[in-house]
Amino acid sequence: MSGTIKQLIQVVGETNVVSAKVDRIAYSRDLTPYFAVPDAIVFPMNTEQVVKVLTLLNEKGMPVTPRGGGASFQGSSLAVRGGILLDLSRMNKIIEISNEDMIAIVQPGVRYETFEHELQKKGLTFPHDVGSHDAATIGGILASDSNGHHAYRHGRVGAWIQGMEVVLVDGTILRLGTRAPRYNMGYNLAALFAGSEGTLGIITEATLKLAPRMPVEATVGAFFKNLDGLINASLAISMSGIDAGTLEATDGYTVKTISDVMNLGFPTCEGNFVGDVQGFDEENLQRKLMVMERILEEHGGEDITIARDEETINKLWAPRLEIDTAIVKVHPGYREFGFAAADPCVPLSKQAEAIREIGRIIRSHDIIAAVFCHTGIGIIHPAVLIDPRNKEHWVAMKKAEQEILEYVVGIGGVVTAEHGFGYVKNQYVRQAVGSIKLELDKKIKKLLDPKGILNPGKMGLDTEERDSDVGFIYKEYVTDQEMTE
Amino acid sequence: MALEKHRHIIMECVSCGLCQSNCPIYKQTNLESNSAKGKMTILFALLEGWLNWDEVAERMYECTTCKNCQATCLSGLDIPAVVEAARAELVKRGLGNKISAQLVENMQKTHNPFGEDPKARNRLKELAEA
Repeated sequence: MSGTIKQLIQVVGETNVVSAKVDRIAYSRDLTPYFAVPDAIVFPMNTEQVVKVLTLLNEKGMPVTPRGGGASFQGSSLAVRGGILLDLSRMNKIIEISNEDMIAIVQPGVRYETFEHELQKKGLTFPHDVGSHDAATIGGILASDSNGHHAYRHGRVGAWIQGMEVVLVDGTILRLGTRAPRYNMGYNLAALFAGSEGTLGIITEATLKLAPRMPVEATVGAFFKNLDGLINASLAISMSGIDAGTLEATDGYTVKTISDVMNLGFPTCEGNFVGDVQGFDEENLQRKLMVMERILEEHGGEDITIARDEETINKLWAPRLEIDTAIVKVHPGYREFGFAAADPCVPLSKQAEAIREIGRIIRSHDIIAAVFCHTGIGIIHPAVLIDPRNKEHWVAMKKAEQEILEYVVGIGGVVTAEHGFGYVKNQYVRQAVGSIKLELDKKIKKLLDPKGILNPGKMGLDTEERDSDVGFIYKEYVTDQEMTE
Repeated sequence: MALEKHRHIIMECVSCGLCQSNCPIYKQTNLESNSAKGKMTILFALLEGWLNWDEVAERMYECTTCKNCQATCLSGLDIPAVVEAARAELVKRGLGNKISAQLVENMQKTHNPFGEDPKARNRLKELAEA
């Protein structure tokens, strides 16, 4: 390894290779229970250095795990096979923002909010506001083809990629797309690399489509005695043709917990609704708000609030965003972990039933669950909060995970729609996509990465197990192998 | 050990990385171990016996305790209190901040923290007047 490190230093310079134990440990975890220590962290500063690093590591057959902000919920950027962690965070230049072409050209390490702040000055937006905010890099967002808070209106990030520069494992630079808004030239490889979680190549530059920043917006909140009313209201808003930015639901248990801990005085409910809507002028916005308010009222919405100021907006979003804070106040030491059932998607008509059932499944194992739903797009986020020093809680989390995924697939849903497979879902990949697709995925992987060095151990491509090749943060963690014994 | 009292904070950190956005040190270095998130992982490893005190010392002193991380943290974790507890323990173990010790020594010898010749002040005065 020391010989390789010397060669890497020759490529990127001494300050861009880190191998002290204390630093390698700092890079060994994310939001999952896992602990995977890389042999070294390498920070390339430009595409040419990525080319040289990949060429070198490919020749040696050494694992290389690309990393953006390291904010993965599924272990996507953990170096589970050791080797080199390729941290792209220092390639963080916004190369160009063009109002005329409505594009931006950025390096992968640019942070989401930093980027958005610059766009704001020019009246533009990259409307892909991921929940991980400035912890997320553009490279990580693209490589996981993630959804943002406004995915209901703007779709997933893949649709916003106009061009891409990707370094392939042998050091070849692949350029896809141009400044021109559209192309239809054979296989859509940009779509392939988006969501590939760094298993097929390293994204070194992206040309992103931009949208105009709408000048006025409002947040709308309401409480429902019945989740069916909430989901029907959300559907009615969609059917009205109002281009809401986001439509969200939080289950009643979570609303009550937040209300009690933070003393917010929310009414008793089975769920609360929060949405936001933008307008090109005040009149345009008011017309949309009037229709939304009427729909919420007709479907049983109570305490309907239209918020324009930060304090009220934060209060309305509290059940969605403050649950971790509230839980640790009641249960010190508890925390949320990324688990395999964190982002299933169900048919729109099944959302109310799924929110209830998923919450019931988790709580039936005597652990804390908060359940959220992007009601416009059917994605459900159950958050499981456990005491990581309690072995029984790990067992409960794993049982709940399996039951949730079986339930979701049974009602016509999918296992994952937002976070991707990463490492955490390795054992569910075949069940989720079927053997034919998985084998085809493996052929694509083999074609682009014959030695299998790029982000190994992920997406079910070279293993359908987890827990077998990593360490665990907590000794009380219960492995899959122990679960079956 | 004072750090043990803060174990629950170290455990409650979910490694989301939001703290990095406002950390003046991390923004300069882009090094995970300079951010609150990285420090909580390091201290967890220390408490578990995977790292020794001398291995973590330098990283613990690379913090301004400005509380920006606490303000950004979704759980409002008091990271600076944890870092200060770690520093207190480091000092007890004879692993005080070498730079602080150097500053004190400089003050005693030259009456300024930079160890500059006191006469240099006169040159500054002359430059300012010029």
